[in-house]
Amino acid sequence: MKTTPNNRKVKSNKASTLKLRNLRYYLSQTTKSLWRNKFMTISSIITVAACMIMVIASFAATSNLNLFLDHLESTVGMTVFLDEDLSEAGRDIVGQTIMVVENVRDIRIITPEEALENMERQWGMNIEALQGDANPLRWSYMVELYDLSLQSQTVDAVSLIFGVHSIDASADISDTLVFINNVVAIVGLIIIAVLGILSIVIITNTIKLTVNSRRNEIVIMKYVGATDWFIRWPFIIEGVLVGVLGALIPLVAAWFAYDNLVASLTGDTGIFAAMLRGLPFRTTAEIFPFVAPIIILLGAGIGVLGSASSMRKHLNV
Amino acid sequence: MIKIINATKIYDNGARGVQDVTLTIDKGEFAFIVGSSGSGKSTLIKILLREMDLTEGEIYINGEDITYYGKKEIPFLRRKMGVVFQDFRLLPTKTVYENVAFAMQITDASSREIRRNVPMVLSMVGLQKKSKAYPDQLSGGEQQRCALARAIVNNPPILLCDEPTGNLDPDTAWDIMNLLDEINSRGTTVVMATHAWDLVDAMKKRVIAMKNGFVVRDVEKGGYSNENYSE
Repeated sequence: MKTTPNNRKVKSNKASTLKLRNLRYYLSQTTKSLWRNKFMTISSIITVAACMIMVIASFAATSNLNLFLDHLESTVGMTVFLDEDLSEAGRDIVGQTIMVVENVRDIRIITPEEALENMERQWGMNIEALQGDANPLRWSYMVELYDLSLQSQTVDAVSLIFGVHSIDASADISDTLVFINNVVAIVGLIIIAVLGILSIVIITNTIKLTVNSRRNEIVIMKYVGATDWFIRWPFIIEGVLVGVLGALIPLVAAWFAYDNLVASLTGDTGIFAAMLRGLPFRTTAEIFPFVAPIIILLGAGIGVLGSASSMRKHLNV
Repeated sequence: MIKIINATKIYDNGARGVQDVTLTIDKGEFAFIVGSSGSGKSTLIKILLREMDLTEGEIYINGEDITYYGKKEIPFLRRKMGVVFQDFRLLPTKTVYENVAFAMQITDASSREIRRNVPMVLSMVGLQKKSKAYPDQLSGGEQQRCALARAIVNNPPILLCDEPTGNLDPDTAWDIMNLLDEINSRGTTVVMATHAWDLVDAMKKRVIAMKNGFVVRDVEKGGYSNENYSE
């Protein structure tokens, strides 16, 4: 068989480039197609929006849960009891030494009197007999940690400090919190991935219907010499528009509704008021400037993937 | 202009589309390809359009070997060849004007060129007054005129026609035939696969007869059939 000569004339080797001259044609084709299939367009925007609102909700929930857990972790920390015969200067030195241990965020000294008051408050009884010199409680430091998962290493390091009598660090609580934190992050990611894939399937099917109804049109376009990219662009723009609109609608709605939702959850009449009061919540400004571009890009990406995959087999003419 | 050398096309199911076909069609020629259904006429048009790969052989258009053209090159090849089908293949959602303009849009023609050429070619096929009509508002003959206008609007050197009169009544078929003759007289090479023996006999053009994928007769100014070849 003879090989192809090298003098082939290929007018354009950048057929995929979006040419400005053609952009108007692509946009008009996209608009016409969206309008012609308006019910399908609206239903796919709504379906993508429904998926996206769940993505946004799971992101906001994960983000807030992480914040709660961080907050709880900072309150767990550990209590370092000091030797009884330690002088005030000795206690200060121990405090300064604890502060330089890795993973220690902050310390606070607790006097025996304060410890007794805490005990009284916790147990709800008056222990007057133990006040003053009779107080059996020791001086201690409440230690907050940066990373609760590294608690055991920190305990080991602090226990070596001269003047430390004992350490109370509930490994169970810290382990549970770290575990919950990890589970929440993984579950959040899985939910976001599943919903993302679901959106791709929905957009693919919607565009497939449009592509199928225009199969003959694509064949004719191929016969008169249209490049694959010339045919593809209007469908891709269509997919991107559906994806971005499907992302924007829930994003705008959630942006405005988020603060009210937090207020109604934590307000006096909120159903979770008792449970959630005192816990920190992320603000709109903390969540949305970060999540908005991700959601919009996700929508656009889903649109491109959906349209590209639904077109592939029709272009082989 | 068109040179086919020892072309054979065997389909996946083993059927033979064309077998060992060797042909040369010169610039400005008008050639009929005749033969019964399954004789290989349409396969010949399809391999010229590079709708399918050849199993063996070579095809040259204007001296250029198109046998192994890839996906990126085929669209540009097709812009050099106007094509007309029996079933018109117009875009149903576009008007007559848009159907013709569309063939120019894909070649990156400017809107000025489109505004100049489309009315000109519509006037040539006699559809200037129907430019705003949609295909379903046209008669069969008018739809085929529109398809012809679309095929020639980019001024291609070659026009391929696959049974262009197959769906038309005799009078309308003659109108289309006359249009094709006029297009040919302006220098366009016309290759027309057809069953219409009366048109072939009357036109006195080159006739390439096919049977079972082979070229069985190739005569200048021939008729649909002769004593050596019968349908």
